[in-house]
Amino acid sequence: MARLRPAAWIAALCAPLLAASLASDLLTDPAPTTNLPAASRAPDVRLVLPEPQLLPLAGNEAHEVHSLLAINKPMKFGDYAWHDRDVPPGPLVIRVDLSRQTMSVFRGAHEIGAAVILYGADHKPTPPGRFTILEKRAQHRSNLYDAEMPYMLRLTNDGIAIHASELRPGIATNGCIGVPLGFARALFGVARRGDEVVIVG
Amino acid sequence: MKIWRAQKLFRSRSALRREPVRSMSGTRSLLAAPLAFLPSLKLRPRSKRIAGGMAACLLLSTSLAYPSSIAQVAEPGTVAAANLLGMLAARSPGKRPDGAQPTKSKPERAPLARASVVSADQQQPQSAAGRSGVLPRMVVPSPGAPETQALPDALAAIAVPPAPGEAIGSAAPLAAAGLASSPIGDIVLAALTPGAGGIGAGPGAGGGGAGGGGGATPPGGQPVVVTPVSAVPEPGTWLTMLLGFGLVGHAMRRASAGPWRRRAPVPFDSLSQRSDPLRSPHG
Repeated sequence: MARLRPAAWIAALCAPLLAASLASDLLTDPAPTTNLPAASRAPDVRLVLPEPQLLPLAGNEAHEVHSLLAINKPMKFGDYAWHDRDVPPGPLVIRVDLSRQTMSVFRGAHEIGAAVILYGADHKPTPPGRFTILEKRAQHRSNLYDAEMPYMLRLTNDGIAIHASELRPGIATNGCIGVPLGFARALFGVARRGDEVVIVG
Repeated sequence: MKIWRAQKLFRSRSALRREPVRSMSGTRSLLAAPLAFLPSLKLRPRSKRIAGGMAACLLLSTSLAYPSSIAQVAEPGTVAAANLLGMLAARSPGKRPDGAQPTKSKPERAPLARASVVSADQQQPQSAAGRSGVLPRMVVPSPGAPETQALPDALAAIAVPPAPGEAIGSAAPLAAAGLASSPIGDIVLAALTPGAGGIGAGPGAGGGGAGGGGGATPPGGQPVVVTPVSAVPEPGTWLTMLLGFGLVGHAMRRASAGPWRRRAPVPFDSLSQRSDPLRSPHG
């Protein structure tokens, strides 16, 4: 008994820490905003949903969303929003909405970026579906179209990529997804090879 | 509560040295208190203490964490019930109008593997050197065309008809030199027929064919198809070059290595008296 007493002491001292971490994990997961600091919860930056909602992705999949960037008016071509500071780490999911000409970048359940995009012309459509980032190149030149593709994130091996582009209304691409330069730079900074990109039609 | 309990534990620990029995019983009753409502639980006293402590900590953490998570739902950044897709649609610039065209289209690529073979009748004068094209265009004179039509007067004046044997031998080097050094020059290939062969290399922008000898083109000669030499060496060429570099490197390494690398065959008798710097005296 006397020999085992230190073990009991250690258990008694460690148990509060263990229990506290366990309890905080169990309790903070359902609450969407516990991990977000106050600066990110400011209403002019981020709209926190009262309860998590599912955003449809390709097929039957959906992405759980806890907060969106506060963009309350229609964006113009070249507009983008990026606010990833203080958002806790998590898997990156990029959702491209072709019919709405927008793109949303989620880290975990929180949106960290949104932009207006260009997509492929009717005879060179951007394929909808689920992709992963195959390659990252900050400086790339298209060998097919002899065009600069800064901050390229390659999605397919036949040339579909996300890259910086000049955005004007009423123009299209050859299948790539064109985003504003500042947005492309920020996205390039956080995206890694293997991250998920979902293109919905 | 946690601090208080730690102090209590510490106090009981210091008291342990003075009065072991009483302080242990106090600690026991304190830690086992959360399990007092389970009298039927058959546990050893130590296990009961540990389990009770953990249960107390769980209760404590729960009471600490729960009000904060409730408070955060009511923060000002929270919006009322909102439709996610509706919010995403509200930021959209709208649908794209039909008929949007890409700004960049596929450019016309210069043919690399094909060299256009044209007749000398359609040959452009040398002023066409500015046309876009990476590889030179080979021109085969038509059978009836006089050769001076393809060559400038100055070159035609110095053109010396070579011997038939030389003409065939000099064709390939000249063609290669013209292809490699004159990116936009035209090469005029005379038909190489046995007995009266000759080649005239046009003075293109690169001037690669300036030394070419002119030969009389016989009527009815067959045009020679020459595949252009690629600027990038073939894999076999690369391998040969690498092998050569390897051999040179090996030879240099052998030459610069110390004398211990070269093991000259020694007679068996002198083996015991050999002095080898790498060998230890005992080895």
